[in-house]
Amino acid sequence: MSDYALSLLARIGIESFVALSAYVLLLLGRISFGQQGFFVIGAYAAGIATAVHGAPLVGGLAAGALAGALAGAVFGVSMARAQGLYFAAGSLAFGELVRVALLVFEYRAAVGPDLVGPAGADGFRGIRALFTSGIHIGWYVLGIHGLLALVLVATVFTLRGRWGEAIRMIGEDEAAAATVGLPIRRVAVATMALAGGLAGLGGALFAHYATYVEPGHADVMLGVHSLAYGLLGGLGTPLGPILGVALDIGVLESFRLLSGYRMIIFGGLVMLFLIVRPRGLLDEATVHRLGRLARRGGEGNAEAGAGR
Amino acid sequence: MTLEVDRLSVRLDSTEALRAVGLTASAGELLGLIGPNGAGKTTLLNAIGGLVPLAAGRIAFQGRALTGLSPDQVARARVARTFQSPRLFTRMTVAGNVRAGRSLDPGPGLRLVGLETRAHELAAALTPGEARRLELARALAGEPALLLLDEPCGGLNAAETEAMATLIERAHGAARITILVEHRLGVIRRLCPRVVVLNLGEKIFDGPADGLGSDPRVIEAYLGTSRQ
Repeated sequence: MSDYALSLLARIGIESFVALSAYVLLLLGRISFGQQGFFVIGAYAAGIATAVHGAPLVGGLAAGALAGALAGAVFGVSMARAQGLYFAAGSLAFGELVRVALLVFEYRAAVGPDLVGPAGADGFRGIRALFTSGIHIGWYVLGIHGLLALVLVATVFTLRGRWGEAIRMIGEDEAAAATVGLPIRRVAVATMALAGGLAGLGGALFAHYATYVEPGHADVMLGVHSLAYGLLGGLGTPLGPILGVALDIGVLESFRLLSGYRMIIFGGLVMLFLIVRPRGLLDEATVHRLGRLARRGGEGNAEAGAGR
Repeated sequence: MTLEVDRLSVRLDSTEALRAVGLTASAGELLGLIGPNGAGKTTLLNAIGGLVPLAAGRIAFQGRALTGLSPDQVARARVARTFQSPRLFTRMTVAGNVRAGRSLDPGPGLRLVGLETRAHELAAALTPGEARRLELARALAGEPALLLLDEPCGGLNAAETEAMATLIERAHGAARITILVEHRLGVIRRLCPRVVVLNLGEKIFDGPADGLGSDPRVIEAYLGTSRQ
């Protein structure tokens, strides 16, 4: 596999985590333009864990996810009841706050002959845990997708349970959800922590793939894209945002013929979908229909099997 | 078990939607709440449910103050409600709407309102009448001690109204207080031994349904208007 194809696969995997993160917030009825903030917090935390403190790669990934989740919880405590424009503006401000804070954040320690760690505007170089542990980059990219598959399955099961039901209820009608006794604030904070953790894990994977992170990686366009992935792919299933990522990076960016027009086509698609299919390709009604068809098919097969 | 609403005032923007309204209700009571449009009926339910802040007064249920509690805290005090326009979770299944994030079996509730065969459909597929029944099932699923019904027969035809009235009658029990806001006096007279009438945010009548027709203030504010 060429380096280019590998880098595309890595980006699809890594950005899928951020897209999933924005997706769970969309289900909660919150439009976030700030998931890049949690992404970069996870990246820095993971880098500090492995490059500065010598933690193994797995420990670094866990630190990234945990830092993202913690930041998500803190953000959630202050923004749990904010909705609509106020939440969108608050999340955008958070993303920018993180980016600007990292411009002055220094946390350097001597590792051998080198000073390693975040160095303000110069970024954070030398996150080499992947290479010092001898893992081939191809296996790492495969690992990213394996982890994504695990997280996807966990997200599907979580969203099918009571928590998922609560998230969807709050997302559709917060007042009605409150009148059945749902602890709105608690569910919102927990969901924002989950979203922060997902984005943080994406950041941790990115930091070890790129070996370098900088405040510029908290670019607002990452947040905007991750939001658009769910709106394009659909909000009926966690596969929706992954489909959005695959469409954008896997199709629009990877084909030379289309890549020059990527932003025009992607932006146009998002606008078109917001008008004609506001909850995306795999919206709730479509997923419900597909689920019923699959169940009927399964029942038909079972009956045919019993009849034999 | 009692509901005590004491000198309750609610201000919505610059309008005084409720002015020093008081009422008490005891377990087993099915209380009718009527009045012309804008009288403050829904505002009173919203105030009890914690959906609007109070300007003055207090609300207590089962000896516990509901004043200042958030809507979810009020709901956990076993207060449930339906809305003037059904507010279902349309992107969830019918069964999911009854369960509504709680650990309960939606089956009995769905059977009560005759929607058990629609359990796995999306709530968006229901007719307006079915939506009202589903909302009632959702409210009943938590076994509330206080049930607030805001025009549950609104928009229903005669047969559906009759069926809904029967449902409310069956759902109401000796251990429950039900407050029914309704415009159809036939339903109120059939279901509610006691009626409270609001007009322009004030309580103008509180007594047996039989007394409605002979009260001059009710005739002037409500019955007279409806006969015009």
